[in-house]
Amino acid sequence: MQLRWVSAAEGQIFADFITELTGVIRDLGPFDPDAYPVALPALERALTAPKLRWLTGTGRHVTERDNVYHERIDPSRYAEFFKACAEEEYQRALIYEVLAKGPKTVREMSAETGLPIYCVSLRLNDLERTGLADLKSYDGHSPRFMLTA
Amino acid sequence: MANESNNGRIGSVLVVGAGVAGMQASLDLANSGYRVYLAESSPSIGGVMSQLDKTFPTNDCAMCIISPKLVEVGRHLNIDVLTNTEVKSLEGDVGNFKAVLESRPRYIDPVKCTACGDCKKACPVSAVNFFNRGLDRREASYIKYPQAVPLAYSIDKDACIGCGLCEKVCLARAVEYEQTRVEREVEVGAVLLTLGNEVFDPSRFETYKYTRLPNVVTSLEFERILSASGPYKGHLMRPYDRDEPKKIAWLQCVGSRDMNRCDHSYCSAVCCMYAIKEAVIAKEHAHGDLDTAIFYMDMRTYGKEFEQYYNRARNEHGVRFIRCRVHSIDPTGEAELAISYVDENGEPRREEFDMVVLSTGFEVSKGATELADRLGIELNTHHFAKTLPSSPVSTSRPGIYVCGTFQGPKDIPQSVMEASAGAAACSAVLGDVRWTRTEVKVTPPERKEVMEGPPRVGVFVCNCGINIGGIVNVPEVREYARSLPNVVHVEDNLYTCSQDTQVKMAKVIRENDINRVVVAACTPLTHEPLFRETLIDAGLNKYLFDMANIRNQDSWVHMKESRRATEKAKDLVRMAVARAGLLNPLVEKPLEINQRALVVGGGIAGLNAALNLAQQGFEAVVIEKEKALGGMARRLYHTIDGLDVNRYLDELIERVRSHEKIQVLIEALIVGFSGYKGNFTTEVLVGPGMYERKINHGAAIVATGAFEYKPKEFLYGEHEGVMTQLELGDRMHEEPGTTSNWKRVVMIQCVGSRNEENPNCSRICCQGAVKHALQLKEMNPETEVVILYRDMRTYGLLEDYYREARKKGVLFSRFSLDKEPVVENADGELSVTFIDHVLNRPIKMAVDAVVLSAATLASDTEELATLLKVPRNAYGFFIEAHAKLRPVDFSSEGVFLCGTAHSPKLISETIAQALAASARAGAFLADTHQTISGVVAKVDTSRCAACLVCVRSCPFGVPKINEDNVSEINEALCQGCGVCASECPAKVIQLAHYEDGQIRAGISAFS
Repeated sequence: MQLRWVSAAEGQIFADFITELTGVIRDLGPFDPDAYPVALPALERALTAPKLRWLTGTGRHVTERDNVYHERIDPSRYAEFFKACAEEEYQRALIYEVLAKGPKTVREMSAETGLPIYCVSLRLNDLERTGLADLKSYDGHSPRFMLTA
Repeated sequence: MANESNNGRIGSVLVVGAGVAGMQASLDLANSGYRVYLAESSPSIGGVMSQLDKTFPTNDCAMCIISPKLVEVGRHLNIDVLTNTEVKSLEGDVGNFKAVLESRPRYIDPVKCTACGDCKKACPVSAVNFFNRGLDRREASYIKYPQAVPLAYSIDKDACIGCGLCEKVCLARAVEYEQTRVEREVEVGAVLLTLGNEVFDPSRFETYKYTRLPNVVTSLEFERILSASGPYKGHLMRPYDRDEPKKIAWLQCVGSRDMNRCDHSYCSAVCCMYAIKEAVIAKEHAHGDLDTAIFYMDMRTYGKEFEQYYNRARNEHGVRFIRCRVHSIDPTGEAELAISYVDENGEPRREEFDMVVLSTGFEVSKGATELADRLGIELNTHHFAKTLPSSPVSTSRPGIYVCGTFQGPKDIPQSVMEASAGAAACSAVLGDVRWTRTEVKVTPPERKEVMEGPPRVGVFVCNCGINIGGIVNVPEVREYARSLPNVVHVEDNLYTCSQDTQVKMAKVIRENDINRVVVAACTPLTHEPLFRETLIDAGLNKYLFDMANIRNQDSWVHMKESRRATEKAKDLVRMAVARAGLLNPLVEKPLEINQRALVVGGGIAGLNAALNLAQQGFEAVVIEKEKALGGMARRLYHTIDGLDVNRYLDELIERVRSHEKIQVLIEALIVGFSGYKGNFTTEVLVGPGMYERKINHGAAIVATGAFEYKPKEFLYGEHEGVMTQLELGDRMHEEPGTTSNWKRVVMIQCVGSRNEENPNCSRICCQGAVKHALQLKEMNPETEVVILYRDMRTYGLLEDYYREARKKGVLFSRFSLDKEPVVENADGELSVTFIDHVLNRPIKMAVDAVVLSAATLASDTEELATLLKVPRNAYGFFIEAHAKLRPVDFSSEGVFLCGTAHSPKLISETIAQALAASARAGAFLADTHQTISGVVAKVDTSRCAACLVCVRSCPFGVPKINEDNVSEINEALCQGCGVCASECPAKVIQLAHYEDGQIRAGISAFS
């Protein structure tokens, strides 16, 4: 994801940026969406979630101007924080997409998302805490989880 | 303030720390007539207990038993709960301190916040959830737990990025980013430190790999895993992959009894019991078979009925107990954990587990030691507050008291006891200035005229932010209510409970002459008292009120079914309105309280209780059945921590005897007991002449003590070299020449304890043996002392003496119940044979003395218990109202207990418990504003058949068949539980406010 703030008066900058971006996309070659059946919808889910959108918008406020406490956050610290948030949001979205297909154990989620097992355990817990996922049933000693929404 | 005549003493107390001890002390103090400032460093009260799942030995849910206390503290008119607050400095002297308190901003106003949680839902930032011990996350805007008091969110500034979103979504306008640190000065007469402890952090132990292995958790994390409000909603799962573990190990003494790695030589006193509890509860939670193993050094189940809990865990629940200190945990396979240990036969073994729980101990926090430094109080070598055995809750600085785990490691009942003891100590110096700093609620007169004519019902429907309004169509419910019979006013509010709505509500009730009020909102459990107060403010009797719970029982449970939830809300409102129409005003009669207390027993417990009551300003009458005061303590010469018991007793008796408010009756026998709380009459036969006396009193304290078991085993009574510990004490005192010449002494532990006949541990004998062993070594270092034990239970700081004894060469050898030592007498020569657990072969040694650590048994109190109608357990110890939270109360009000009549305990513990009992009794006597609840059962005597069903069914033993041969229920004693009303076959008993007609009206409105 790339984001740049461009004023309406900065036409040249806008043009340069778009040219650069199309170049990057061209270099990446043809894209086959079917090759990413989980990752692509997860990415879309993460990017359209209110959380990342809000953090994107608020970044400049709290790093360039004062935040609500009249303090300014160091841009590199914010970037790090944002990156961690984006990564976790994407991981949650991956789990969400996998669970959308039906109840799964943590191991199954790990296999389908490619995330490490303990990582699935942690991010799944975020989904449970916010009321998006819940325990469904047990497969022997392994619990299956499902989406609640 | 009008307290110049009282040497300028100030009738308020600062309590620092709002865990269970701080809360108990605050309640006792506030009920005794003092204003309390309760300073808590976190945003909510409740402490560690609020994090626990279940509590031993009753397996009660911790939250269920603590939350009524949370609410009581939060709502108490004379307790100022100051959250996020620390003590900066303290100046002055006992009776007159000035404390500077500093409060960190919450950034959310707790008065305006309604805990709807919208800020949390919006918050884009997450942080480690310390409440769940880092097992999950929370938002920067958070509340510690759903039942927290104050029930309000706050912002974790360290995690917050300051984006401002929470302010935008807060409909109650409670978010205030401009808040800053606030300093305030308070005047107090005494300070009570209930700071609590940290839980030991095991990450410094490399070999346990706690930070690297997700399935190695601490015991407190495991509590959160088991808890229904925890990260896994109470499902037994391991963190790594959420699989349900099939095998769990507990490693005891992590951060306790360990000089090498963590420098904590003391025993943390609670871990053995909580590990057993966790193992038992985990088995209950498991779907299949769960194997649990506890690796321990000594199983220290020394508390009241703890040993039986241990036995049940082993014999009935199949918890495995393995005596071995485990050195390291090795990861194996994907997420399994291997433990290597040596079994009792000396065989090395290796076992794999799915999960390992580290039973972490207590540790004094850095904040606590810094505060101690600021306050100028001394700490002991382990950084706990230093106290003396004779004054267990007094710090080194007069006027500053300490209780709970900051005084030393201890469990909840002990902390609660000490909390009341701390309150008693404050009360003893401030008795003169009770009620000088307190507020009394002024209530307008009841408007009786509005009760004339038909019911005029006002219905207030709450949106609860979007909690109700987001699911239930509130305007529709409101308009529906308008159509119901008798309803004259309806409205809906964003938050019906908010302060401004309450003021408005009182006004609306007056203006519309409303005489019945229905609030459709949340649960009466938390909110009924608030709304009832509003009724009182509006001049209405508080019983003319009913609630419809359209949140917890509707919008929260039917979140996905908006339409049907709305219909259910209408049903609930219709039922409440129908019942409300039939509600009657009830009168709460004032309770008269005789300001004198009776203390039964003149031992250390009874004398301390009486003396403290007198210092508090109440009269006390001590009844002792023997000729001399002092009880069993007369047989003790010094305590393990150096108290000269005889001197202490002489001084104590002198102070009791010379106190003008105390009467002592010796050779006195109780023969009659009648009356009810606040107004008892006890008949006593006194002296050799057995003349009869009647004593009127408002409260009673039972302190009847215990005695040492006379052994039948080990040749006791057959050879003069075989004696009990008390007799050894006598001998060392009377014949020091003989005892110091002994070459070898063997002590045998658990004589008459922990066996089939008496399954209880007597708690005090391990330290007693160590104490005497040290004394023998002191008299003659050449004397060889061998202690034959089953588990050394030198709990808490007593562990230091155990270590000292080992260092001084006292030998300790373990035996098991099936291989008891044998004492033989060969022509007068004593010898002991036992199997050494290291060599695993019998050892026979000639000895000069065999000392039996005989059990502590309850005094014979059968008759007394029958007269007082107070319960005893199978072993003759009295049963307190609640093992955890009411350790010195009986369930019948106005009667309290303390000392070894409750269970065996040390002198310092006895003194603390005696003070606790006198605090509870004092709070009861001091609160002269008490009323008798209007919700009591009434008998229609004209139709009573005297069938005795009510007499038998009442859990409090209140109904009596009177002279007219009908059932009579004393309203002062009735608890309003309704059991008799529901049991009465002739339906002649009605419980006021829950009369059949009222309940039927609600039900028929539904069907």
